[in-house]
Amino acid sequence: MILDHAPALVVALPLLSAPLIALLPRPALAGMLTALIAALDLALAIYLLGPALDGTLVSYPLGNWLPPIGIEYRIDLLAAAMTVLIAGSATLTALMLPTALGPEVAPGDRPRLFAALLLCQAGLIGMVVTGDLFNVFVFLEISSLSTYVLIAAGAGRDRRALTAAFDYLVLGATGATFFVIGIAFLYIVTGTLNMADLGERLPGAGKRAIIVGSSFLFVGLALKAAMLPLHRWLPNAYAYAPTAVTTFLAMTATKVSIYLLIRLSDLVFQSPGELGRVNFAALLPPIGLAMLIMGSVMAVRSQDLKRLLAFSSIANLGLMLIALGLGAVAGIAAALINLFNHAVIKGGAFAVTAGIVHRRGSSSLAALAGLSRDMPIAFVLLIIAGLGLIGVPLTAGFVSKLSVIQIAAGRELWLLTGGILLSSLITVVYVWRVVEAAMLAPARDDLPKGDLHPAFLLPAGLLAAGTIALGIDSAPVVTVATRIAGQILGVTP
Amino acid sequence: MRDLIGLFPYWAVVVLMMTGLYIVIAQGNLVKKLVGLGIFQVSVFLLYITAGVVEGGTPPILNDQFTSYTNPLPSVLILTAIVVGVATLAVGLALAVRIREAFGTIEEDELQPLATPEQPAQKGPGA
Repeated sequence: MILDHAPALVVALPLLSAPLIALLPRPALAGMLTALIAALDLALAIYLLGPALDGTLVSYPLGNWLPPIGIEYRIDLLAAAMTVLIAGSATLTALMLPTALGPEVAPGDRPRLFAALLLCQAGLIGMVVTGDLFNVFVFLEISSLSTYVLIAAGAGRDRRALTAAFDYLVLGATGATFFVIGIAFLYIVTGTLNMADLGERLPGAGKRAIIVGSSFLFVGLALKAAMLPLHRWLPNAYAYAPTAVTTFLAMTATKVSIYLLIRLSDLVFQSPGELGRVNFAALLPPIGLAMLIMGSVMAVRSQDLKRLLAFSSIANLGLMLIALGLGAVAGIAAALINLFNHAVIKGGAFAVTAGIVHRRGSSSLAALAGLSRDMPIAFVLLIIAGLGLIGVPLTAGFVSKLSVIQIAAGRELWLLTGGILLSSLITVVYVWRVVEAAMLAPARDDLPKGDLHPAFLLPAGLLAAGTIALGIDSAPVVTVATRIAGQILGVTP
Repeated sequence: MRDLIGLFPYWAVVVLMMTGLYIVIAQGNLVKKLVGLGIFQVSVFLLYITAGVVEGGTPPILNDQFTSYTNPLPSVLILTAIVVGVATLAVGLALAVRIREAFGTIEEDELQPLATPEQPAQKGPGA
C-alpha cells in the first residue's frame, strides 16, 4: 500500500514535484499545482501524526537498507508535529504566493519561485523526519539554498533583497559547514551517523572529540537559529524578502533550528557530568534574555512593519531559547509551546502584512495611514496578531509566555522573570506604534483603496483564528508538547 | 615528529579551514568571499576523507587477496557534500552578478551605504 511509504513520500512529493513545476510554461497553473502539492503533503503529514499521537514510533528504512547502516526516517511525535507545522505553513503560503508576488516577480520567473518554495518545504521536512545526522546536513542545505533564492526574489520591489540574500548565503553556508565539521568529529569517534545509534555509542567515546564536535554543531545551529550575536542576517532577510515568503520563513526556518537543538539536546548538548561534555544548555538563558531585550528594543525603533516583526521574531526566539535552557520536561515543553504558538501568531502577522503590502505597495509604518478606515479587516487581523505578540490573555501568546514565566518564577530566577515581563512591556510599545500608525495617523488619500485581497483572507484569517483558539483552549498544544518533552528526555509522564 | 608527518593531512585541513574562514570574514569582495567559502568547505571534505583512511587498507573493492579496506562511507558522503558546495557557489555567484547589475559594485564597503535600511527602496533590474 502506497501509504506505507508516507514517511518517504512526505519529503519526496514536494522534492520531485519542484523540477516539474519549474518547467511549467503557465504561471497560473504552476501556482495552483504548488498549492495542491503542498496541501497533499499536509494531508500526508496529518496521516503520519495519527500513529505518532498513539505513541507509535514509525521507522522507515530508506531503500530497504536497515539502520544503522542505511538511512532511517524516524517519525516520533516531535517529528510528526513539526512536519504538520511545516507542511501547513507551506500550504498557506502557496495559497497567497501567486497573488502576493504581484508586480515583484515577472510571470515567466514565477514557476521557478514556486519550485523553490516546494524545495524549501522538502528540505525542512527532511531535516525533521530523518534519523541520520549527515542527511540532516543535506536537507539543511536544500532548504537553505532555496531560501536564498526566495529571499532574492524580493529584488523586484527592493534591490536590497539581493544583498540580504547574499549575506545570508555566506553566513548560512558557513553555519552549515560548522555543522558538518561537528558531524565529522562525532562520526570519527563513534563510526555511526544514525542518531539513535549515536546516543548508544557516545558514552564510550573520546571526550575531547565530543566536546569539539558538539561545539561545532552548536555554533552551526546558533547561526541558523539567529542566536545573538549571530542574528545579523535575519532582519534584512525577513524585511526584503517577498512578504509571503517571509511568512513561510518566520513560521518554519528558524523553528527547525530550534527543533534540531531540541533533538540533539539529549545527545550532545546537555551535560551528564561523567561524559565531560560542555553544558550548552546553561548558555541558552543568558543568550535568550539578551535576544529578548535587544529584539524588542530594536523592534520599537523600526520604521518598517516587516523589520519590526523580524526583530520581534528575534525576541521570541530568545524566549524559546530561555525555555530550552531551563531544561527538564517543563522547559522543553515550554519551548515547544512557544515554537508552535509563535509560528501561528507571527505567521498571521506576516500574512496580513503581505496583504497590506499587496494593496499599498509598501510595508513602511507611514504606508499604514488610514488602515483602520480603508482596510478594517486587515486592521483587525493585525491587532489580533499584535495582542498575541504582547501575550494578552485569551491569545496564544499568553499561554506561551506564561509557560516560561511559570518555570522561571518557580525556580526563583527573578532576573529572567523580570526580563520576560519587561520585554512584554516593550512589546506593548511597538505594537502600539503599529496601532498608532494604522489608526491615529491622518488618512492619506494618495494610497490605493480596498481591503485585503481574498487570497490573503484565508491564510491570515485562519492564523488569527488559531491565535485566539489556542489562547482559549491551550490544552491540545500543551498536552502534545509535554508528551514530546517526556519522549525526548525518556521520561514517561 | 611522527605526529607532524603522520598527521600531515590533518594539519593541512586545519590550515585550509582557517585560511578559508579568514577570507570569508576579512575579504570585502563578494566573489573573493565565495572563494574563501569554497576553501573552507574543501577543508571539511579533506577532513572526512582523511578520517576514512585505514592504515594499510586497500581501495574498498571486494577481492579475496585483501582483507583490510579503506572506509568508503566518508568518500560517499563527501560526494554529496561536493554537490552541495557547487550548488552553493552557483547560487552565490548568481547573486553576485545580480548585485553588480543592481548596485554597480561587488565591493562590500561600497555596498554598505547603498544597502542600509535608511535608504529609500529602489527596484533591482530584470526582476
